[in-house]
Amino acid sequence: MRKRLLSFLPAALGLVLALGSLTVFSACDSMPDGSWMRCHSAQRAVAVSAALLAAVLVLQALARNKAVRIALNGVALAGCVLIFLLPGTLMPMCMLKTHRCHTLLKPFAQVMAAAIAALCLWNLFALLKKKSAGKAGIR
Amino acid sequence: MLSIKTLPLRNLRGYAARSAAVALFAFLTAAVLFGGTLLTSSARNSLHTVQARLGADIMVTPESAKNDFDAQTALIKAEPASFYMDAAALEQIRAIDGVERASPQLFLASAKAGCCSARLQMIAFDPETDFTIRPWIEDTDTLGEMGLMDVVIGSNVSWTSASQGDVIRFYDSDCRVIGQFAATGSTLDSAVYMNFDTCKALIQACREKGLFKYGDFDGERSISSVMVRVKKGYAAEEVAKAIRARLDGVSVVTASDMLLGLSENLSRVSGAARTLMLVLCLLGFFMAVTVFALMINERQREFATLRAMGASKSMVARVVLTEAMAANLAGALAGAVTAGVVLYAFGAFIGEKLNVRFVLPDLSQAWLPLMLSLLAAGLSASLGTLIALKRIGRTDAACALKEGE
Repeated sequence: MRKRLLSFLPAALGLVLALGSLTVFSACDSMPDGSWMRCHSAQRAVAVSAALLAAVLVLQALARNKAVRIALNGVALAGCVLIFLLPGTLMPMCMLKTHRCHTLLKPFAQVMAAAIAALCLWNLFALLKKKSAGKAGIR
Repeated sequence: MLSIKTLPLRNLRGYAARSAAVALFAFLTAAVLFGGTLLTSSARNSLHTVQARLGADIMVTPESAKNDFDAQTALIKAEPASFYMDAAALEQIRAIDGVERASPQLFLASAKAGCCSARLQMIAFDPETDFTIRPWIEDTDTLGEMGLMDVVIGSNVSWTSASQGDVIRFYDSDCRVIGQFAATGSTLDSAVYMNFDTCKALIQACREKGLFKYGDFDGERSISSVMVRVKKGYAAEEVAKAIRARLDGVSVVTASDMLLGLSENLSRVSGAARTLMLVLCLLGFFMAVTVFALMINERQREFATLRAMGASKSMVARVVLTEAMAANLAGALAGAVTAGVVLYAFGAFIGEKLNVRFVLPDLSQAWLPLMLSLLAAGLSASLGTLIALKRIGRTDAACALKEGE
């Protein structure tokens, strides 16, 4: 039971990342004229990617087939790399590093992506070490 | 197979809640010790860097700029500003006894960037007389000599977000970014540096766009500030007093006045961090002694069994000490790593909330505080265990085994 619950931990972290990037760790507010700052797109991209990542990780936790779980973990790992690179590298953010998007959104996304990636790697390692394959299909 | 070597780890696993409690105190102690040490030493380093970077002993600005520019808080919090005075002040300052060098600077605030609400402070220097900015440029990797329309950006200006390629635009004029200064942990990091000719060209561009509000600005006769270096043997305060007496309509501040705000914030945070570290270290130590004393008391029969099976007192002590060290070091390592991740990731946000600017050292330089926190956690575990172990020595194994029968 404890193992089962633990397998949902990466998905829970993915959900925290999606919700956190929209609330507590959100990017900069809108400008006085009502338009969004450039970092807003990065925030949206992080939130959407994190929600998709959480969905993949839920499937990974529910799947019983070893090959499916390995594949889903691989996809999740790639998703983590994408989220890590999204704010600042793949998507531009504000000009000054003192802005919220640099001080909160970017580090939050990167720390959470790194933590989820570490859990995915652990899962992959455990799955590859496992001798017997589980039953096929998703419970 | 169960052996005296594997026993401590099996005990830790077998009594997970107890092990977690011990590790938790080590986690908190190490997190506060490592985090606190890193934070205070980084803030102190930042103060020294700003002091070195400031380069001047005195700064002279127009008195009319006091609403836009407060020298005492300028290094902590400053809005980009433009203000000007007559360049005649420069010659008057140079003529004052005690002044070794004086160099003018020109300031211009950028318009709000299209991407965000950021405005940058542009600081221009006179390459012929400057002694404050040129030394930094020489210490920085640049793409070449600074020429017309070349700029060096402060560490807070995101090179990738602010510029396209190496080009940054101000008032629709392209400037080439040739380098980026290392962080100082002050508002100097949010500025863009250029020579006088570039700044004058940008002021002209600003004027053409109808955004320049300073009608009396004369490209040849206007400056924003004068940076002054005092001759050896002269006190900056005395020279500042002489400048105030000689020049009207200027505001004169010494470097120590400018650094006052930073050093006040530093001592406030250092004091709080030191108190917290001391309290948590003492608490951690007493908790280690208490937890191990209770644990050893509870495990009297277990130790007596080990003794009855032929284990010497020192073997039993080693088992307990290994358990304590393993739990404490694991907790301490996790605490230090967590504190490190939080500080390195959210340092800028924490600094902003604490109103303290700091520049964290490279990870390669953080090993000393890390080792010290682990050592402190290890020491408190060993001392706590040794004190508690004295009890084992005093108890007779046979009596302990008969207890409760």
